[in-house]
Amino acid sequence: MITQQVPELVADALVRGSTIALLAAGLTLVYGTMRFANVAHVEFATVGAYATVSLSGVFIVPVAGIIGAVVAVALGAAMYELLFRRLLVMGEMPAMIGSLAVSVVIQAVIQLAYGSRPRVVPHELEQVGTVLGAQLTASQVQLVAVSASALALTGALLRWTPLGRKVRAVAADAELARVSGVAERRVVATVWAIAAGLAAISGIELALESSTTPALGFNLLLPVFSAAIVGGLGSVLGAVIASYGVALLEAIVLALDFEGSAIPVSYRPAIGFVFLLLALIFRPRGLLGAKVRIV
Amino acid sequence: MRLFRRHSATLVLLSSAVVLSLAAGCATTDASDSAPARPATTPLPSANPALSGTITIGAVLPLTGANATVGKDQQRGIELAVAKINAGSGVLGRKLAVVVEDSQGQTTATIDAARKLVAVSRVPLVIGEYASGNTIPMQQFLQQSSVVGINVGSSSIELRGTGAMQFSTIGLDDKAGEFSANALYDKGFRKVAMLAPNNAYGSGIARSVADAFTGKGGQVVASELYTEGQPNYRQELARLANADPDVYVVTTYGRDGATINAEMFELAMTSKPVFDIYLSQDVPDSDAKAVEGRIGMDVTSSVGGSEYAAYYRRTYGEGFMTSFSGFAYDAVFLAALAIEKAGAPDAGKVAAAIPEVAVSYQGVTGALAVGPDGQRLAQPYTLGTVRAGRIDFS
Amino acid sequence: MFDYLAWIAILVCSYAMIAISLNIQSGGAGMINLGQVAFVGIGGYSVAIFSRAGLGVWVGLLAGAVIAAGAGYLLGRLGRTLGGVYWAIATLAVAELLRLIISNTDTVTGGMRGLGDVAPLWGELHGTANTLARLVMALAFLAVVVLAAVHLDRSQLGRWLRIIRENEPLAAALGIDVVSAKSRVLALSGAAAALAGGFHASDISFVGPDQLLPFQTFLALTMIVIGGLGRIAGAVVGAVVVEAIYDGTRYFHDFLGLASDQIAALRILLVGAILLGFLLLRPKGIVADQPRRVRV
Repeated sequence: MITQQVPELVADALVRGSTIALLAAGLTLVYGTMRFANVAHVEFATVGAYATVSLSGVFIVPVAGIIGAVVAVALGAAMYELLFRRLLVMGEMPAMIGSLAVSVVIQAVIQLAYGSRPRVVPHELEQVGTVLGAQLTASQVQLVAVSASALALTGALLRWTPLGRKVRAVAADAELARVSGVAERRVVATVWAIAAGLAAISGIELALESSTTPALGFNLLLPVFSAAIVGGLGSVLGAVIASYGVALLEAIVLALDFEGSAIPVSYRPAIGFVFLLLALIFRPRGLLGAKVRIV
Repeated sequence: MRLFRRHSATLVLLSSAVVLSLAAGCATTDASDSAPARPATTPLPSANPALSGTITIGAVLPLTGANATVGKDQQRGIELAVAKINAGSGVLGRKLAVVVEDSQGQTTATIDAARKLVAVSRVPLVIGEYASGNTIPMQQFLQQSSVVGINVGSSSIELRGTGAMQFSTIGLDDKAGEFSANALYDKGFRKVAMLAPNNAYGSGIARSVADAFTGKGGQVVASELYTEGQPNYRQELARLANADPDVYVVTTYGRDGATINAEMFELAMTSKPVFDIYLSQDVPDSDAKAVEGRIGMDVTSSVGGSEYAAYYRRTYGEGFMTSFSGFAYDAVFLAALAIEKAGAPDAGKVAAAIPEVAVSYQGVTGALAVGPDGQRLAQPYTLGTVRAGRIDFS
Repeated sequence: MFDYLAWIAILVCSYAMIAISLNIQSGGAGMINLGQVAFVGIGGYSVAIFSRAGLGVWVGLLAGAVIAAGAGYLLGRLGRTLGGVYWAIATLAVAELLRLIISNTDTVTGGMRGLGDVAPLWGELHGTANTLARLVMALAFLAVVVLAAVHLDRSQLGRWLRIIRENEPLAAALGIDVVSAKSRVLALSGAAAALAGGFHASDISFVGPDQLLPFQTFLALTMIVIGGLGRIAGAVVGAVVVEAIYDGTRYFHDFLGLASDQIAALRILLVGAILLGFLLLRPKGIVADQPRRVRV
């Protein structure tokens, strides 16, 4: 039977799901528009986090955070221009492997520059308060609020602005979009800005909640890809739903207790993996994705 | 297609901005992050000029990887010992040298390093490592190659069976477990909830404490092994809290330690007593508010106030980084004394000499007498309490 | 000195075997498997478990190869509808799942502590005889894997796989049972990787979950990209290069005076940068795939 109350489970799912949703949304958007499975996507979170931590000595935290996000976006644009574009010409898989290499290089550079010991943004310790029946700290509530707003903003942008419509057009069919005169260049720039920006927010929030290590982003690689795939590659809404959904599933499974023995917490990622594998076997296109080619 | 067709200048500017802000931040953080200006350090004592020639032994330590902090501290222990020996009468009239190789915290690399020491540097004795998962295979290899091994950081009871030429200067888990369980029971606690890292060290110590405590009649209501390197541990802590123990027994180190301690405070778990195994591994890194009033134990050599502690502080300008430098220090002395007694740096003779020498030797970590399995017979521990961010050993 | 050089050579053989096993999937059939290390782990743990249970190292090796082959075949059948990205992520998930299970099961697999005291494959030998025996055995194992790969390359299955690599819908249109072909190559690849893993476990007398981290697959991937996708000799060359970097950087702190954890980062940086460099500048690798002569 379940050892935790519903509000606790929901709170757990919201906190963990938010981090993953921010990353998965960006990843799936990039894949949708450029057919690029960017393994290095999670590194935007790491870079954003480290930039913020570095600058938090000079600026106050929110300002440092914004600059950190800008740094991540700039890095994304630069990497696309210099590396990813060329790799994509060779094909989807070389691009994916290349992005894996880029991910490894970024982690190594960060470790060279900052060392492998974790860095913290110094903050006051606070105790939990009860919010709607669940125990949460103020910074956790802030994490969920900021993430939800960012995702909502992104959704609004994609749905109701002309630029957003263009992005969705390219995601649906790049050739047709180009032929009908959609300025692909602006679309690509926008997509990178959104993707890297959201990822950076996720990384910064994580750093504020505990600390940052060079592997901050990479540890989330599989959960993020799982959420994006389960939600259907290319669908931002699908990715967000899948992120929170899997987080809730994890919280529930971990709260199960059979006569005093429970699943070790270390198995948390395994829950997501099993779900991903089942999804791939039975519904490879994901929740809201396009059809996957069947041979 | 290109993003910056007309504006490659923008691209260059942006890239430089990225690099500059990271570099600037890097420097700033280094300055603000480091401890307040370190007190002046004294150089190590210089070698006795009367010594000629060198005797070389080896060491394999985790200088990089997850346990780099411990590895560095172990290296310090070795440095201090070598300097002291060479400032005195050396070994057999010669200088002592220790060749240190990096195990990278990985087993294959550990064996690789050991092979290099045995085959290329031709040492009769190797000190190391830290993780039981690395020390055990290394000692098995050393035994096969007829080289003496001294373990200075691992505590798994499986070390008892690595071979006749393999020894330890650190007491194994069962000693720490016994001491902690006794302390807990004596304080009146009957239900404990345990938290330890999911690695060779954590699972070993958790089992030892649990076995000893239940042996005395107590009950372990919950035991969690946490995966290292996570951003938070709320789930694990929630399970411990739900089990409603009399006391939380934790052992952590590094950043995870600070995170866990902070979260225990945030979740108001600190309203119950907390017992910390090896206090000096996580308390210095944690927020003072989070660990106030915590009780725990540590290896006696961590207590400070001893001559060794003063020597360490003089040389490095700070107190002990971890609890482990003393064991490495003692291992070097043990090796030196054994080589003296054996009359030659011959592995077989040294192995025979070690138990004889250890019987009467008082190391900085206590009496080093070893039993027939090459393991330390007694390991002194001390209880302590945390007040205002500092450990107060009674 | 000979002992140390022999050890390096044996390591290269182990890496080369893994690289070749990955190569027959990727180079042979265009499937990017990011979880190859799982097969290596199956081999390693089989040998360790059987050895410690007293059932014999060779039996363990055989069991490991069979289990890995079965797992590979199953993976192929389950992944029948998956291409490219999906396949890569799925295999990574499977490998991570295996590592999690192994890390958290204290009893059989020793959990995070790993399993030690694995008996050697060549019986009780000492000194130079031991070293020679190990070296000969390593070369023999490598030869077996190379022969298997060459045989596959020249067989009908190999031809089908090359068509699948170039143009999968065409292969299906030609009547090739794509799923069956992929499953069979995965089975072979799994067995080869398991042999490598089992041999290595016996060599260092230890197996642990550290050896199943995704980074190990990444290293193997780098080896085959450096060597040239599809080329067997290339896989060996790649193994030599990567091992040279890994061991060579050990000497860096003597020359460059860098801090220890910076050297670890530098090592990883070099490997990643080299992979990226090869992908961008020389995608065919050092030993490129030569066009075949067709006898008309």
